[in-house]
Amino acid sequence: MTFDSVYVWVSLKAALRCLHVTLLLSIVSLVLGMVLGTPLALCRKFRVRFAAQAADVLIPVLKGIPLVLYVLILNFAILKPLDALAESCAWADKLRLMDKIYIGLAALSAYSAVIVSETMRSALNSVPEGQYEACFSVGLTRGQALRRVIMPQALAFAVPVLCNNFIGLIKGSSIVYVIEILDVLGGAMASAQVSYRFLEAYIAAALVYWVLCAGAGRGSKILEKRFAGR
Amino acid sequence: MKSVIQIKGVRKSFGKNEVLKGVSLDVKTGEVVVILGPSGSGKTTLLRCVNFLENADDGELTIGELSVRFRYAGKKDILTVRRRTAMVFQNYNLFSNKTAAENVMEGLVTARKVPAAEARERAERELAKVGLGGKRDAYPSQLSGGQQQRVAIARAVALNPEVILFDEPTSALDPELVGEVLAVMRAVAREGITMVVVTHEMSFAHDIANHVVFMDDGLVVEEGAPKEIFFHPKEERTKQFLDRIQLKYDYSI
Amino acid sequence: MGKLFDAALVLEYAPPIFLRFHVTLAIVAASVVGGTLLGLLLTAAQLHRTPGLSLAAAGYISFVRGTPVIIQMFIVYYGLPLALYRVGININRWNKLYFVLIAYALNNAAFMAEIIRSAVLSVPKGQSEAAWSVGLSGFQAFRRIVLPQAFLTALPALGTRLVNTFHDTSLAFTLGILDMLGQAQAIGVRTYHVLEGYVFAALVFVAVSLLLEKGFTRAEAAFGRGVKK
Repeated sequence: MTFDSVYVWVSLKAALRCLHVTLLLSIVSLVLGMVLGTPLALCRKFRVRFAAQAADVLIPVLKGIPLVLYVLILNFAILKPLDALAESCAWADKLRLMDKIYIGLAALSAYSAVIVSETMRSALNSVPEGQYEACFSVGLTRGQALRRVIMPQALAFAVPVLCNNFIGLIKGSSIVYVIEILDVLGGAMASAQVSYRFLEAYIAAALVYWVLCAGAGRGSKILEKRFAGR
Repeated sequence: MKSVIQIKGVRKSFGKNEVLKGVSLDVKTGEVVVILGPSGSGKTTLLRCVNFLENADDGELTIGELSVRFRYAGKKDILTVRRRTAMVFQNYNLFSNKTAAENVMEGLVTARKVPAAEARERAERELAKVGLGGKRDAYPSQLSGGQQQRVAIARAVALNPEVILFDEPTSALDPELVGEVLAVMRAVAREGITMVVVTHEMSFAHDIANHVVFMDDGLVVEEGAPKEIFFHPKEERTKQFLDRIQLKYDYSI
Repeated sequence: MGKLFDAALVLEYAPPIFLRFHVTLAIVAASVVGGTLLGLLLTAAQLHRTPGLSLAAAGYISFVRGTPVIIQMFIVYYGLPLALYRVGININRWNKLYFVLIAYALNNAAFMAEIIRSAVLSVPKGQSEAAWSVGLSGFQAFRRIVLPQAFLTALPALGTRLVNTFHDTSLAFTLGILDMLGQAQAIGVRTYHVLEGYVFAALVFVAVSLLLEKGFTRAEAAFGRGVKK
């Protein structure tokens, strides 16, 4: 066995050709996570009937499942029924050949919703009760209080944690490789199937993730400063 | 009388700011030395240099038969000096993971290798002396500032050091808690323990001190018996400082 | 083809899958023990004044935190034999599990170093100064005063880290390790029923995660009694 840095370069180029997939997976799942997770957190904070109780039970449970199981279970649970349906329905036959990236997106977004809802919950809890009381004392409604006072303060707390969540999603998105999606890791590995230069391929993929995560970390610092200044 | 601790020509700069410009001090056995001076005059830094919490740039320290140049002090010298002195801090610095009694015992058991049972006995005795016999199992967070500082004084006294350094021991306290700490310090002084005290408490300085040192701008401006310094200061800067402080003092009463 | 999901099969597959739980535990144990020791070294290197040393530690931590653990595992698997072969040690015959243990310990070390460092830095300087002033040596002050306080501050982060480490082990099957997930897949290949195995594994992960969380909340309450400001 030897190590040849030329193959790192070859794999790096292959990995970068799939960069958009990794970016798409991590960014869309972060956004969807925020869209789904924030209302969940609000429901729990304000004890919205049924929704709060359901979330109290479900979120700790879902938080206990590793991301790879989200991917494997959803992959199976989506494709298997389609396989069965494909014999009778033409649309199912077409649908089962869909791009697996949708399955990856579904899995990552579900996972992200759970993580982000926890982030938003602790952010909401970080705002002192006195802030709500002050809002109500000057006659704001709960919605106004949230929008104008509570959320801006909660966001200042949430931004660095959300950036951390995002870094987790960038790294976590590599897991979709197990259901054969061509992301950065998949692209690098595809190039190694030809050359059998696996170590070089993994190093190339690692470099791409490293740059992405370091960039996100840097961005976090800038955002943090912006939000702390308010 | 014999000197307990002698400092000669201490210099210390933080960056370009020279805080101590060659300060000398001679503390005799059983003496209570009070260091006065406006804030920023370097009195706290001087105390911290003596305990090597700051590394002085120059100067010499003599404690008993041990003499060290600050710049060349090795780890062993530093440890020796620290084991012969004790310090009471402005914000108490009680070990927050230990109870009152454990705070007093820590130096005895870990540094001086006193058997635990004996250390506990001594800790309880010292806590009783500062009026906190009932608080030995309380954690610092369960004590008021005044109580914490009294534990800190017990912690220092228990070590039976040659000198105790007090760094503004009452300035972080609420006004109504100052009295109890000063009372404890008076009791310590009456036992004949050598003390060096940086403080703004003029009445304490006046009643207890044997020797008063007035510092300004990194230098000792004037020193002598309390009566001389308080009632017949020779230097203009001392007069100004005393006027200002006395005024504030009258005002607050 | 059969049913998509057969609840009865979850029970049937449970014993063989749970019998592989010790593999997961072994990986977690290696990450915790190895990661803590290496993490302490990394922290020491990072807080050290030698610029090269702290820079190297910071670089290592940044790399590990910035790359997926699955890739790190394969880099160790392919790279370690190569590196050691150059210095004359042949580990090509090693059990795959050893590589996984090493990889996870190396991974966890970076995270532990970050936790330890910020916890140590969170202890006020006055605590060390007071310890020195009563005559404790630098090491004594660190061990008896700073470390216990830092540990208390770090406890919540350590709990989260332990749960994350536990979750990360779920990727070891991609290297062909026969842990719970590996077993679930093996059963799936044999019986075409893979979902049941996954669901059971998920249940184990959920149960253990919840237990760990509860345990750490208890520990915080127990250790923190009276101490917290």
